[in-house]
Amino acid sequence: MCRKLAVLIPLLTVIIGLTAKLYSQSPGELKTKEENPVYFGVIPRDNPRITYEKYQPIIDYLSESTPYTFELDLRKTYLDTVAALGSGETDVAFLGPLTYLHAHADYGAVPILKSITKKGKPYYKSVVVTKESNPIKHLSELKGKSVAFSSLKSTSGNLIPRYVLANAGIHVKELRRHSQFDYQDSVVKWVLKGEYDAGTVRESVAEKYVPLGLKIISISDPIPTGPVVAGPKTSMKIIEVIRNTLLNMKNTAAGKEALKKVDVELRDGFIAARDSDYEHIRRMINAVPTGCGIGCHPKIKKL
Amino acid sequence: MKSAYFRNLSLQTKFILVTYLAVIILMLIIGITVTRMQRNIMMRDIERQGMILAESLAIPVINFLLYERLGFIEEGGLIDSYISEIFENKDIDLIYLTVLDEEGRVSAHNDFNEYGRLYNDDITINAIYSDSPLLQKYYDHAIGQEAIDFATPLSIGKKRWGTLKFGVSLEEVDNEIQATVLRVVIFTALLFLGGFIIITVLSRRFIRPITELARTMEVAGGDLVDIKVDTKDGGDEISLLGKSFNRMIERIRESNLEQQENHDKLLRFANAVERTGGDLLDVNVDMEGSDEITLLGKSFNRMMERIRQSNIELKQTHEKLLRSQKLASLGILASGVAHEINNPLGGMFNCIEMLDQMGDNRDFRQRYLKLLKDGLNRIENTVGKLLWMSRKEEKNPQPVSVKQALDDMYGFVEYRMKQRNIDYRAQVEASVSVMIDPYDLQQILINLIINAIQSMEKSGTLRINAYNHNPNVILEVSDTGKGIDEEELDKIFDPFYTTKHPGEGTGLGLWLTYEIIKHYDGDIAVRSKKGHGTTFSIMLHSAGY
Repeated sequence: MCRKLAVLIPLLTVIIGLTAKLYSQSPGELKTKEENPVYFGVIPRDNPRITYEKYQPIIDYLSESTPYTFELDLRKTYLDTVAALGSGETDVAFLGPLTYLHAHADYGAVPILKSITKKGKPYYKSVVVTKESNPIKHLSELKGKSVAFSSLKSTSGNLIPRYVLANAGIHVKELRRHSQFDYQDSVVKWVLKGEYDAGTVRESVAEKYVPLGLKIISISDPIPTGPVVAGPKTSMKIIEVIRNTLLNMKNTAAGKEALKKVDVELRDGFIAARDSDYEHIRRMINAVPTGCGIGCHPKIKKL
Repeated sequence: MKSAYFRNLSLQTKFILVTYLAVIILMLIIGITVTRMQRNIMMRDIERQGMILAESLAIPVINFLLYERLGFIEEGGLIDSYISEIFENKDIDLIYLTVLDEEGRVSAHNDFNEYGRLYNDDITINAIYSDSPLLQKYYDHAIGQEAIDFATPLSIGKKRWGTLKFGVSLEEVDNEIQATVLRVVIFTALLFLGGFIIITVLSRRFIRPITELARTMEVAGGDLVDIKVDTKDGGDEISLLGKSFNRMIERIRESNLEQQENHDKLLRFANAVERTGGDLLDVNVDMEGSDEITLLGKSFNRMMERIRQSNIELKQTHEKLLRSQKLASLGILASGVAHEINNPLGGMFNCIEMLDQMGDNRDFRQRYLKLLKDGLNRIENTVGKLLWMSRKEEKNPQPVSVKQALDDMYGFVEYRMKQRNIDYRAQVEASVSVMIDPYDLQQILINLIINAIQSMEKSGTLRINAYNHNPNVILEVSDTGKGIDEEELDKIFDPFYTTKHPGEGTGLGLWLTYEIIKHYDGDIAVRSKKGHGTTFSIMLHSAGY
């Protein structure tokens, strides 16, 4: 999987580079945005249905509050989502910190906003979970055990946990078995089913399953919430409309109503985001010893 | 007509008919209610099942659609298989199951031939424009059956991929309802059958005593009062009714006996009263007791006793009256009598004078002694007649010559007639005789003749005619006197009625005459004209017959 991606990414980079060139020549003429839907991408952290349920309310709110029609555009993988943004197939996207850094590095995508979680914070956390009945209580006990990670491009479900494990003195090679799953819900379910001793997901997902017998054994440092990212070909006009509408979302009745239905990490609306917010993550990626060691997390340079 | 027919039915038949009618109505109500309730429950169940199925199916179908769009699964294949599998489920009677796109075009269907068809019927239009699950009842012409169309939007938020739509046949509901109706009918029939036995037995148990009672009462309507209802032992209403009936019959029987006794008493009483219609005043009702009829009988007896007493007194009074009248007549005749006696007495005094002078002459003496003897005979005859008239004897009817009776009478009234210059004209044949007591005929003639003489104060004519008018004799006494007022005519036979001056008459003459004539079953009539005279016509039975 990782190898395929390793081949695909440079190819995409070329394609995106070409389209970026076109965009730079006449950015306003490529799309007549007012007629066409504005496509909103979302990284596939959850299965498509859950993604729709968690993000469609924001899409509906945007459609109702702006002259544009918005539509969710889901892709199979994190990278597909980034690529679509880079190619202009999608105009904006909800990305995780890691995927943002990729999009930024590869396509020059820019962060517009970042979300405020249900807890009122512009950050969230990554956790390591086990089944409640599992005697494991500390990260150190995971050596020689099986661990289920989320997607390789997941910040909270893969990058941060590896970093955390490394800090606890455990390299993935020392695990008896480890796998990656596209959806964080899948990770939890495998742990609950006893197929894996531990799993790595974002805190909100873990909390959802605690009543069902999940136990959190490690909580990471705060991670900045994923940004709303504009693609390189997206017009400033649309960017401004989206920025203003979402910034103001929690101040309108319809916005408040929509926010009640969305992912808990977006529940309190949005604030402005800057690239520097993700500098810390960028450094983590580049710290080779904490990576997966197979080039999954290529070093990212700041553009 | 019908109600009359119903009224004439026996109580038992009525009871059974009414009970059956009640059962039919009850079963009809139960049947309709149960059927409706069952239909409602089944409809609700189908609707609920349909809605659950619609909402449940929508989730995976949306997932499939999403996976298809994302390329996770091959487009068309999975949803079609899924639709087919669901459609094969026999738990719900699906007619069709389809996924339509946003325009109403078939993107999946249990019948592959339908793929790509655009539905634009009302039900589909309603379905694809509805934001929430929709339920529509309709008649499915393809299966000829009522059906329900369920539709649910395939959407999350405002993102819509299409509509899931399926039809459920209501055939099972109809079949179940028909089965229920059949069950109700069978149950009703069984109820009828069982009910027939129970009702018949019960009605016999409860109605028979009433029927028997009614029959007994019907018999009691006749004279068979010695009947009795068999009430058996028991305290129910029918037994009580029977006992009451028996008591009533007993009372009627007693009452009848009492009535019979009363009837007998009344009969005796009536007979006694009937007998009083004759002269049998010595009747006496023989009754004992203290009831009203007995008291009435006793009163009757007392009344009869008083009547008897009164009759005796009346008879005595009557006789006194008769006697008074006769004596009065004698008084009236007294002057005539005196004349009758004085005339021979005068002659006799002359004879005695002559004898005193020339009694020595034997021839002379013998001639005058004969004259004296004749005078004495004449006086004796007069006095004898007078005594004969005033005597009181039992009536002794016999043939009496009217002429002879008139002749005997004439001596008494001759003097009075002459005093008043009355012309006496009697025209009576010797053969005319009547069957009467001679004294009564004498009394009749004296009364009428005296009345006639008294009505002619100065002069007049007294005519007496008598002739046979077989089988009767008619005797007419006419005068040319002052006559009687017409309005007085119907009073003249009343006792004590008189037109004479006080002291001249008793007012009993004509009354007595009338009484005597009625006694012999005869008749008397009068005709009179004021100032011209009066005629009395008497009819008596002829002695010749």
